[in-house]
Amino acid sequence: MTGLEERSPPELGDEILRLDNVNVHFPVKMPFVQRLLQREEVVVHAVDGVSFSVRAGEILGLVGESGCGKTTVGRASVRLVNPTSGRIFFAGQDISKLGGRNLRVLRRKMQIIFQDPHASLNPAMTIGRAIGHPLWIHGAAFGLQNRGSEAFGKWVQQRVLSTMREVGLTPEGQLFDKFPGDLSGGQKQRAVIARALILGPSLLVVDEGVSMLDMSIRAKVLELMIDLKRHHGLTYLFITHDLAAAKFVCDRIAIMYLGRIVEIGPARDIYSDPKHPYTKALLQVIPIPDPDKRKEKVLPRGEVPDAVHPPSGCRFHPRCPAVLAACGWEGRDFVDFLDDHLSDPKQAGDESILGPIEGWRADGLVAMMKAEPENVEKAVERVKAILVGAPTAMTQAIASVSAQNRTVMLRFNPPNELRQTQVQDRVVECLLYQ
Amino acid sequence: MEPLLQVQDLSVHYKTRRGFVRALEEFKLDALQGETLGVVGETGCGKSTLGKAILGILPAGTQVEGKVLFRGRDLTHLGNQMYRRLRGEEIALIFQDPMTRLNPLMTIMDHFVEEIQDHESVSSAEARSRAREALVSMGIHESRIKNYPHEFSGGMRQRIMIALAIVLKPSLLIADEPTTSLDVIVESQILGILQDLKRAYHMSVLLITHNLGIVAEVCDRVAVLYAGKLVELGPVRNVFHKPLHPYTQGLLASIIHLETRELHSIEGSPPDLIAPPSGCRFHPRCPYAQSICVEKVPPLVEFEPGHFAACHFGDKFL
Amino acid sequence: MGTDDLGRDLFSRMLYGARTSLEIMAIGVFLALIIGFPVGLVSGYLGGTLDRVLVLVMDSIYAFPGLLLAAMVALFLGKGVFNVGIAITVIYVPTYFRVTRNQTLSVREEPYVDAARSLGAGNWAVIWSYIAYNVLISIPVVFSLSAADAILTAAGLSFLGLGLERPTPDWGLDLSDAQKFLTSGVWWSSFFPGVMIIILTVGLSFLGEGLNDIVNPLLRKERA
Repeated sequence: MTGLEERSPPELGDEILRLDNVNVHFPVKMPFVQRLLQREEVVVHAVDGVSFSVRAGEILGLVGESGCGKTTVGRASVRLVNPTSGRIFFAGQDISKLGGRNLRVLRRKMQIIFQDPHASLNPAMTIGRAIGHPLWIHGAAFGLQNRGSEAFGKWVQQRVLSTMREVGLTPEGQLFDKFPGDLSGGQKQRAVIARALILGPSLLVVDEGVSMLDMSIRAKVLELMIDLKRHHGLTYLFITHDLAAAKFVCDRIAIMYLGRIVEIGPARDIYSDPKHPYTKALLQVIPIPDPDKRKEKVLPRGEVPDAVHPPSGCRFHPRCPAVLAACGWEGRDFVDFLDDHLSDPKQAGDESILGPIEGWRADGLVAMMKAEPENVEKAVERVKAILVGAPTAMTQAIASVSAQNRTVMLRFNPPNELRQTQVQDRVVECLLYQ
Repeated sequence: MEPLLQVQDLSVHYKTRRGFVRALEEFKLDALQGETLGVVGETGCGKSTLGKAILGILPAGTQVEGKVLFRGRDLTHLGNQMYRRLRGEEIALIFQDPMTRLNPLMTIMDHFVEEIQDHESVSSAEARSRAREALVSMGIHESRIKNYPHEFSGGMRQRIMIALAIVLKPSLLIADEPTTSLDVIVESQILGILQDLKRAYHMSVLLITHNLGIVAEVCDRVAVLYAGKLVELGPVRNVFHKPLHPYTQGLLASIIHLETRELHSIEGSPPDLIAPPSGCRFHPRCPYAQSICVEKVPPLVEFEPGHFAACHFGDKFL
Repeated sequence: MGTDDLGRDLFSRMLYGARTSLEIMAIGVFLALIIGFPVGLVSGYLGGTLDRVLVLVMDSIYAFPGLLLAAMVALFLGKGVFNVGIAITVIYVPTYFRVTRNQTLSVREEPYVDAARSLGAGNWAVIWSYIAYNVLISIPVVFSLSAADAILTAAGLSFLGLGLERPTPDWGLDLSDAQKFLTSGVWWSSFFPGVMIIILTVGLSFLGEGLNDIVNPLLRKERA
């Protein structure tokens, strides 16, 4: 059993991984003609300006919900996906544009463990062969010239067997010839770990390493990872949506939301005193396995918006319980508010003049609707009336509501610039602290 | 008060190439009207089988023994026609993946109208208005009623599936891993909805999950399954604070939560259900196993009022 | 069974005809597999321009009416069992290409392929060790179905008088020759060749399905 007890801060070495304003944008699949009609490039902003560094020997957690970009950051770090812009440094070397052979050499030093142990192993390869395959691929690097020789084959086998022992895949002699289909979930994950370790990497990116395992065996695999780290002096980038596991395992933690890091700092401190409203929300909703500790939760409204058109300013602003006027209100937000209002039978009064909702268009800071000349003034009045019931922060952000020609126009003030701010021992990206 | 649902000595054996998989063995359970009962277990414990057995949607060729009584009626011998009426009107099921229930070619409105008109003879107008009501109560905008399933996010689809399940106001809702694929915040929202439903309609909910955290949050009682057998049953507080079965103890100890100081796990892995261990199925992994555990199947004993466990040494943990 | 117009024993012609058919099928379908499978793998995995060009070529061949194409090839190459085999190959390469390519496209997205790349495996290593086998398991069914179809095409060719020379024992050929005698009431010389074609075709189809049921779980190395 691994204890937290006196977990002294790890002996940290130099910076081993650094991401510098990395963007990863994926093109959205659309018909050719439609693409021509777009004014700007339509991409999925999976990772939008992420910077952080990891020092040798530490475990940095990348935490967030699905769609926040954490998996993409992990994959970009090992160059399984190419950054659209920005730079990635490994042990001081710029690897952002590395290709071909140089990239292959890099692979020995950094490895990634994927989320689903059941799908990460080739069903057509025996465990022994799968774990040893990296050695075959990089054979020459180990100084053994002749990959076809018997000596090499034996050497590979020895290495595989000893690695299997190390990760607890025993009896290794028997399991060597089995296929993934014959193994349990926990065993498969151990095999995946063995395969990642056999080359002796210094950085391991773990993408949801235990999320798909049963709870009663998660602990064992986590323990294994922690032991291996100590033994081999590894550094981990631990990607997960499981905040509780991250708290236990990680030294530092970065909370991600919709492609950006909103808070990053020492794990213990962030958990005991979260600063960013999103971090607070996340921590609040973690179910506690104690029926006596049920509590009322204040949940952020709605769901994570799509990453193709992220909200402007602070991306969390449409859902944030502590939102301010300067956080990034835009036309879209008003249209959403109006939609809510029109759909609620209790609130809607004589709103027919403002409907249907499809008549409204949002363009940046402006929301507008075309109306008949005789209705325009009345519509403006209605809008102002409705706004009384809107969130204060939103109404404070409105610059003007006016009638222009035959259009009702609502314009917001531009948001304040969002900056990463140092708050105590961590960095937060939130206007509350600027 | 008569329980709404009574499962008596239910055994389900699946037919496979290698032999019969004894997915559920002599399973007993009662669910009362208005309560939320959690059914908890890990991979291969049989919890999904339970849900399917109650709804009569087990694959053909499956051996079923024992009884499932709903309001006193035995479901195991119900004809197809009767079962179809039951499903939806009285018992509803929601799954982990809403897309298995939603037809990508039908709008949300169509789904509702079909569901309502399948069970009740009402006009389309009436059906549509009820649909609108159900959807709005789930927090879905009226403007989106004509949209197709793929135009909604995962959390929304889950809500739609719940709305679809309750539109006919069933007395029992079986939720099989309803939030497993959702993020924590959306999961909380969905759980909130389930609790509101319970309060508003006095609905019984059978919550099947491997997540003990949500069981602690929303359930009144909990049943723990291991390798096809019921090993513990009782009020959540009792089971969580004083687990009587070593498997429950191990399971609770292995949960990683914010206050976890040490990692715990259970040795070994779940048994092969084609040839499960003799006596108590948990004995190969149990730290307290004795010879009696290998020889005799432990009976389900009420060690304290309402709190049952199937362990020869349950009283030692009281 | 009687004899045909030249007095040759029908029964032995049926038997030898089987051999001819199987020979044609063997050459035709195997060659198609040997060409179509690797090309489909590479095209599916690498994608890009190469893939687009190959798909265009293959689809064009595929779109061509099979028998017509075979007839053209047979005319060009001349008669003989081997040449008919080649004609069959040409028709079926697109089928194998397609099936392989489609499977490759889906296998390519599997996490274990990603894992292989993250280990540093080069394209050829990935295709050979990770993709090829997993794609192969979908081939057996297609194999026997196209084999059955090949028999029909070959018979059709011979029936048209292309491909095989008399006196090669071949059912299609015999069928063709026997046509003119139908009106005089000589039914057996056309009946038996016809029936044999049907039996072999249907039999191969069943074989394919049965093969799939047995081989697939084995190849997938499933537990149950």
